[in-house]
Amino acid sequence: MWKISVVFLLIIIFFFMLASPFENKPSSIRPLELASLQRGAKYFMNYCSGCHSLQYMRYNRLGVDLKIDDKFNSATQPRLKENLIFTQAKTSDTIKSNLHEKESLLWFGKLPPDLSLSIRARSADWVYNYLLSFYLDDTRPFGVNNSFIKNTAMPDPLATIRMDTNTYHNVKNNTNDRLSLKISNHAIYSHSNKNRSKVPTLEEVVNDLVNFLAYIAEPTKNNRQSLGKKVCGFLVLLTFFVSILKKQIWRSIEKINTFHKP
Amino acid sequence: MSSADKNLTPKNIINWVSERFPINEYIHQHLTHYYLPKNLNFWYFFGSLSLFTFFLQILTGIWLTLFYTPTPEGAFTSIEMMMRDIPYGWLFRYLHSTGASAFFLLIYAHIFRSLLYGSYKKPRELVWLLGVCLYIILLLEACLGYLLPWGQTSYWASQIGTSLLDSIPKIGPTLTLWIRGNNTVSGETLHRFFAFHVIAIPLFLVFLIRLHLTALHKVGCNNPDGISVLAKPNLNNKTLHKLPFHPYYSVKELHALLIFLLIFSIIVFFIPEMHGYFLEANNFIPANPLLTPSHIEPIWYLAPFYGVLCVIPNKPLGILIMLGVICIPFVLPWLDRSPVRSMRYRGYYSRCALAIFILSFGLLSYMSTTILTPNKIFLLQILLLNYFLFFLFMPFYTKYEKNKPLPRSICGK
Repeated sequence: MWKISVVFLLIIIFFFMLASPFENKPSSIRPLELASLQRGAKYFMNYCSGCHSLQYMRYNRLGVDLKIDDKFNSATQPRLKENLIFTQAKTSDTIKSNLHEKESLLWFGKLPPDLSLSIRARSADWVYNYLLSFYLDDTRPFGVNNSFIKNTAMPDPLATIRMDTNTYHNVKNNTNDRLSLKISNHAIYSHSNKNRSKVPTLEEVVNDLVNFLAYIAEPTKNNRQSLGKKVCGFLVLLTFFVSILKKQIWRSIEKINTFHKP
Repeated sequence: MSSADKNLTPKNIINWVSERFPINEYIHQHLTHYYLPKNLNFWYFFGSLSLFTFFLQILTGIWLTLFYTPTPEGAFTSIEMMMRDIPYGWLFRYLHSTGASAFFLLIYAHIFRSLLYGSYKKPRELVWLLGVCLYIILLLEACLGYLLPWGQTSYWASQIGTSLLDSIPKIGPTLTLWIRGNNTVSGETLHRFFAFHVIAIPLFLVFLIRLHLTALHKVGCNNPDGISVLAKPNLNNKTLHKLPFHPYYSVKELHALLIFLLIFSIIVFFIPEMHGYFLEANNFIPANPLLTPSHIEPIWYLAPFYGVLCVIPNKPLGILIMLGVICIPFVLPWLDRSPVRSMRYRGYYSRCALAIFILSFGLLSYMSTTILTPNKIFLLQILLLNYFLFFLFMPFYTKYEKNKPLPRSICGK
């Protein structure tokens, strides 16, 4: 009987364990990962959000999860507003680009897809390779082409960083005329990286962007895994107790049968 | 309540209820005095585990309907929003999507158990027939539910699924229009699929499960030796052949349930997509009626039937063969002429046939989820032939094979 009570006790503990994470807990993203995600958010807002939306993600969720904004401290609110929101959006809004539909059809021939689920629909490798595979091509309207997805409609958003890392080997003198390559890289990095000695390489930027998009594709992934560890640990424990209980109950039958074996 | 038992102790409440409701008889009949053979092994737990998964699907399903919007504009967004904005929304969604796949895995294990120990043979034919009905209704339920996320795979798989009806002569086009409510899969289709998935089919499933269990409790449970066991414990001999369900099997079932839940939780919490088998990558793209994906990859539990349609060049013939694949298990109890139930005492023909059958069906399911090349199509046709030959040759190999002698009881050798 006492074993049954132990089992019931454990069931109660389980529900308490389930109940506790219902409070508002900060996200459980590891510090190293967090730095990459914060950089990724910066790169996304700088290079991608002009055209691409993240229509299933809210600014404030992003702020709390990436520790840019604190839900309970109103003093941190301007941090999100000033650094990541470049539109008229409120912090409770989803991340939407201001690109006009008509204009985008005129410029690119199609609407830039929403990137909320890009990693789950394609894969992290796909996005990584795609972003790294741009090369100069005069036959295309934006002067660049992609070796991974031939004749892609997207111009190279990271052209300025690519220039910096000399990925474009055959940069001609007239490249500055092109719209996408107009801004000199010094102009950009002198401001956004003024505290840093090292300019990030293209691979690092793409890596952070992919990390960020992977987080956007499933913001609850860390919560899922941390809850999963607790649930599985509890189930292992409970299975152990129930297997003892099972042995106890079946022992009586085995006794009868061995005693009275015909 | 009479004045004598006015104090509300639990015992009094139970007495009050049992005087008015056959609760004690029910517990007696189905738990404490429901006798099962004592040699049941782990294959026998998949039935109750599927029942558990069924109720899990019902509960998580009810929760999902609270936040789901069955319109083409709202369906995809409402699911994404429930996974992000609603506390534990992701958990319920993953429980439901993983539960669907787990349900089919458990059902397949349950069916395999029947084939292994001859549980479909006399006197359990009706249990088997009801079980096959349940399996078919479950497939239908899965098909209907598959449209609801309104992703690309959902949309185009349903488009193909409903277009099957189109090739029925004469009534086909009318029937398709009725089912779809439009010329293509659209908001109307989503509405009716939602209604069927959420209430109509589950009610029917509950009814069939009740019948399945009633029929089972009437004829009693088979056992791995496939021999008849004495109905009541033989007290003279003091050797127990049968044990009451509670506590002996209830504790074993609980143990099995916990092990299942552990595996299930690992999938739900750590690999809910199961590398594209439980949640496909293409289904994370909202449905676009103007953009047909280059490769439509059906979810694994619908894959074998989709595969049959792909490898048969003629569409009406393909549909007929697919119906054959689904319906041929109905006649299994009358195809098997072996005097022995369990594979333990059957000859090599039956054992080999079952092994080839399982391998064929497994490979057919797996290969149907991949991109089909002419070589693969040829292989799939052979596998499909194997599937039918297992049933068609069954009257012969079961009749003429040499079986092992049966033991006299399940306890002694």
